[in-house]
Amino acid sequence: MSPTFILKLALEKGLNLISITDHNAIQHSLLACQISQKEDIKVIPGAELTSREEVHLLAYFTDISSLIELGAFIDRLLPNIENKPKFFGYQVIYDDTGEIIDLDNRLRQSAMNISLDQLITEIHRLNGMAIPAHIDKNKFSLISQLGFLDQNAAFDAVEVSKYKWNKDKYHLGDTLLGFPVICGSDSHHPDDIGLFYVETEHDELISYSSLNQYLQEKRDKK
Amino acid sequence: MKLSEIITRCALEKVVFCSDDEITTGYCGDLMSDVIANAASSSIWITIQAHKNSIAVALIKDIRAIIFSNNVEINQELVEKAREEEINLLRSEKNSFQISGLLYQLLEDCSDKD
Repeated sequence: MSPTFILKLALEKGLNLISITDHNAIQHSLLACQISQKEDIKVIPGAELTSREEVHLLAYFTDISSLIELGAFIDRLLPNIENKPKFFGYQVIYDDTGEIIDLDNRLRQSAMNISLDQLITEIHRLNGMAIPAHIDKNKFSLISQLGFLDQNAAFDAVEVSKYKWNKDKYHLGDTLLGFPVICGSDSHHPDDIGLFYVETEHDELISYSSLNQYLQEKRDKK
Repeated sequence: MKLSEIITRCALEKVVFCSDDEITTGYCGDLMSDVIANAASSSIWITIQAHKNSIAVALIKDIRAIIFSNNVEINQELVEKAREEEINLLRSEKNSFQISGLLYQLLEDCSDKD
């Protein structure tokens, strides 16, 4: 899915704030942020990183310069293995008109050579939020890889799957073992966009900085 | 078999050695959710997952010792936690397959004698 197409669908569905978090890649998140400046939608710069433990960790930033720094960091720590499109599909790169302009030949499915704890430290150094992704899933999650959620971990929040969010009737501001819970649509297909979203009555939360501050306040309450 | 004998026969590096426990079986796995579900008690666990949560998993399952294979990096926090909770930590430059093979043979031979 091209960032242009994602933004178009998100606008059609009436979403106000989104983030594109590709696996160990930043180009499309950057592009979405740039395109969104002309549109009536906010985009948080982000990525979904894989730590050495094969835990998926979401990283969100206040500005694109931090995401660019993260990109350089990924380039250093992701093994230089060539993608096998037969198994993993083509990793295409789009431009702002939605045209494919290049192929990314470096396998993005692999894990970065850095521990989860060090990765959190690095994200915090860039003033970002570090949030383990879909912790209830049985693949590549904090729980599947590392067994349980450590209450002393430095996460800013935890993300649950939309299935758990709905089943447990979560609302923005709720916590799990002291961590604020968030949820994304985890859209991998155009049809997914807009099917799931988190609602808030507080319009001011529709920005990275106020959302970050809100989550920190919830986090501090434990 | 005593842990000390396993350490000698498999040429393991002692990172934390706090008690010479009797080891009856082993488990090999890097997903802690799988280890929690399937590892036996009084066992030795072979993994590359050198995260401090491994100590809690060992405690939950009464795993007496952890062997980190492939010479993975072990941070100080993990070492301290192991000392505190009295879990033996060992390391080897061999991979999990090689250590598992060695250890399986050792423990089988040992139970044959009994």
